[in-house]
Amino acid sequence: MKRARKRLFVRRASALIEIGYHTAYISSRMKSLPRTTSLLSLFFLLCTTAAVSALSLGASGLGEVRVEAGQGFGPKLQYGGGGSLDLRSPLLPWLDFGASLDLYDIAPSDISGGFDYRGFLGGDIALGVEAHTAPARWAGIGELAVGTGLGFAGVLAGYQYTTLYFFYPELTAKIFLDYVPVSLPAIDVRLSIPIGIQFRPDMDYSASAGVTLGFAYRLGGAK
Amino acid sequence: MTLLVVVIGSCSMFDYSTIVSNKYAIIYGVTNYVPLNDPNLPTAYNDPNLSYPHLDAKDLSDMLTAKGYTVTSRWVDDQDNFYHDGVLATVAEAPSKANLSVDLAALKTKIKPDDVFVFYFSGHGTQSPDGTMEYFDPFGSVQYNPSNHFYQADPTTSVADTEMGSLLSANIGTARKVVILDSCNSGGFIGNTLEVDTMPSTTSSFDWTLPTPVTIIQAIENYARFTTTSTAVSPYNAQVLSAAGTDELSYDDSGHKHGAMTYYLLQIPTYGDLNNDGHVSVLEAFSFVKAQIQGNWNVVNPITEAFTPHVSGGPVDFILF
Repeated sequence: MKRARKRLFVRRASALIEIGYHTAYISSRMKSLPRTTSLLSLFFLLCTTAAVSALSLGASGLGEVRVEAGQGFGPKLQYGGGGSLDLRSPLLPWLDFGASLDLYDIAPSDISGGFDYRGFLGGDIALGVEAHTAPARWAGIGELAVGTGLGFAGVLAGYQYTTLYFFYPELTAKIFLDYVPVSLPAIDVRLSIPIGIQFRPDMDYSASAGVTLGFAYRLGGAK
Repeated sequence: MTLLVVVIGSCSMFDYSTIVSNKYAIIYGVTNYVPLNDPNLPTAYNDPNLSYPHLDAKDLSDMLTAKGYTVTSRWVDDQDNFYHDGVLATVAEAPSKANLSVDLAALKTKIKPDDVFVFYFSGHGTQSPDGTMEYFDPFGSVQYNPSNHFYQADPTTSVADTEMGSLLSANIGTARKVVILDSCNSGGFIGNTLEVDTMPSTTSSFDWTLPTPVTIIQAIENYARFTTTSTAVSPYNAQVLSAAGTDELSYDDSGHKHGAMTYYLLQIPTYGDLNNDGHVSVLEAFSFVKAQIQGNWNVVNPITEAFTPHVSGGPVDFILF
């Protein structure tokens, strides 16, 4: 499989060169439409057989706990959960690019001490990279690989009971375990533990840890 | 992983069980701004006197007293009678701006950092001609202008949005401060600097309140420019619950004999516990009051008389009782 990945990488590299040629040719004929040429470049990138076959599309569910403190009050925990739509594309044999669209609901904290940290509904777009080991195989079971990832998200959240919305960026890191069932070679089942730091300017600090379980379907089929 | 389990297993990371919060409230209501025998009333183009703020103040005082608050109240009724803590008093005890400063200063030595403070006002609210400042109008702030035959609010004897924040910071030494205003233009007292409120400052027939791309852009801009300093009452100073948006009026409800917002506010001990945890928070009170006004008052009255309560942003919500 190591050899197959190398061939794939070479195929992708040559495909990218070809894409670049086509894009440059078309771009030179479309000088007045820069936005369209950018989209066209992306379109060609995605439509190259090698690139599309390397894409994985999936979904996952998340449960998390946050610890937050702000406005001079002490720390409290907030629990929440949500889901995401995920996209992954290999950059190198051991490195993937990941993107996701996430939605989650964070419940208010407890009211001890006469206050709580407000609950909110949040949505974000996250981008990141993931490094993983070469898969280990067991006959009759499937493949297992472990990895780690680092990402960044921009979040728009709305407080519970209100029409008040606020933005904050978030830094995330994770470790994960990927499992490819022998009976479903085009499917990756992923269990991951993400941790995050939320950069909320009106809080002293906000951090989270969770568990996600999801699956991804490789558009190119089995590895 | 072990640390994560321990953290999740603990309901609260900090022991708040030793916190004992005393609760204090200052309640003001102004029905008659000018006496019934004022010589200008018969010929003036407007009547500045309202109908029910004295009942608002009395009933809210009773409600909060029953919930364990130490209440200081002042109101003037529709017969020019002044009351201080429910006892008939003189005009010297009126719910005026000067007495507000006295009442706040009296609490300065009493209030501790874990205590809860609520300020409530029912009466007129006004906006500056250029729309940049909002006021609530205590007794004594309305004067007759003979040049145009109108009674008008005097900004120097009204309380401006910028002033209220300063008064609270100077006198009330707790973070748990709540300001409730049943008055026109009261949304102007909310000084959010991070949050974008998708409910507009004036209620219309159809208000789209879900976030749009414009909301996202505004939220990012607010993030980039974030400051805790506000031109009104910062949410990091006090939570404000306003009857109406910045640019709209609120009303007395003749059917219920109270301010329209206060009528529903008085129901929160019974219906305001939206999550059934045995307590009512500011956000729960706001959500209940807003839903009732939108579902009742705004449905039966013309759209020109529709209004919507607003609430402060900020990450913290306070428990009222």
